[in-house]
Amino acid sequence: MQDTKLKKEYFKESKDFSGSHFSQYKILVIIPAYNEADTVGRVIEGTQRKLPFADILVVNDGSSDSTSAISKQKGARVLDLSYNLGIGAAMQAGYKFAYTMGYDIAVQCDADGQHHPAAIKKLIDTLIDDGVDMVLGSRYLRKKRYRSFVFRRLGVLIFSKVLSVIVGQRLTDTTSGFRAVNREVIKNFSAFYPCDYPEPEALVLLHRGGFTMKEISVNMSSRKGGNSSITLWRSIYYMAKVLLAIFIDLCKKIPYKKSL
Amino acid sequence: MLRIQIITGATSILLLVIVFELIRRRRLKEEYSLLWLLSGVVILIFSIFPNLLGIISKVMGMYYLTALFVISFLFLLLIVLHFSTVISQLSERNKELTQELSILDFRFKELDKQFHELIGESR
Repeated sequence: MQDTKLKKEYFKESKDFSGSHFSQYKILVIIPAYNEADTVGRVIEGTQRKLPFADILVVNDGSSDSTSAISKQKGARVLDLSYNLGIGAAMQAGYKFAYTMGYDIAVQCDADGQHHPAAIKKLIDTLIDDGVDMVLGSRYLRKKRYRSFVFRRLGVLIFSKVLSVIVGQRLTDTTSGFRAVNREVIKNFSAFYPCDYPEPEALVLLHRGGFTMKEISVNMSSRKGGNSSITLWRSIYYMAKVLLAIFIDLCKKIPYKKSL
Repeated sequence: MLRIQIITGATSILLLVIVFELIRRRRLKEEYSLLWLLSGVVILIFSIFPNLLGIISKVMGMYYLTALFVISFLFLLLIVLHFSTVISQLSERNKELTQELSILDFRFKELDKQFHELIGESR
């Protein structure tokens, strides 16, 4: 089909510039933040140092602390949402911004400092060189022990098995919010983005819309703030809710369509 | 039988009058009033023709009054379901507007800054 041919050419061109293709793409790093004043400044500085060619957008999801002021002072673009919309809607605001401002590539990255800015480059490289629509940063792909609770590890295992079967390829870190997408996905996300459990749900819906994805291994720090108070029942409850949401996504009318 | 006819008849007429008045004063949109009007009319029909409800109650295997309650309950269920869809739609639009507003706010501030820099230079 002509669509795939066009796509190949689009990405072939980028390969000729490999190593320096950052200069010809408009890249946006989207950082959704809700009361992250302690860490967001460091994340912005780190990203600026590692990716001087990228623009940084902080989506301030109705924070009551100085998240917005600190981000502006560090030189990031800031979207101030009037009230707390939740992570899914905040991310979508970022994708809407990326679409209207004509960005080619968007990377989403947590504000709490668990995603390393150095790895963003790797995500973008894979996105361009492998010609996939979305690249996911996984902390479990390489066998490395991350300190986490047994229940949590079990939950991660179940999610990854279920989603691997649905998507038809091996996925290991389905709840990771560290991912890079191309213009076509930006366009689709700006029109619709799942709001309940956005990370795993977006994978299912994108796959159903015919988009391709690839996981690469990245290092992540354990969360700096906030003690994980994950009990057995709470994690079972959470898992049931996410699995239900994924099941509903399988029945939904497909909101995404690949047109490139 | 007659007493319950009067009670249900009066209730339905009162309901219809209130809904009609709310629409007339533009306190209620026609879109949201259809189900209310429909339930008012149905209750009115049942109060005028009590035999109809008698037949239905026999078919459903219930007493007259129980059948009346079940039918009203079904209508309330429909109305509440309708409201849930309306609320979902409203919150979706609200979300969209908030997102668009934040983007417009950003772009406006950028332009405002550039505009003032421009004026500052020309002076």
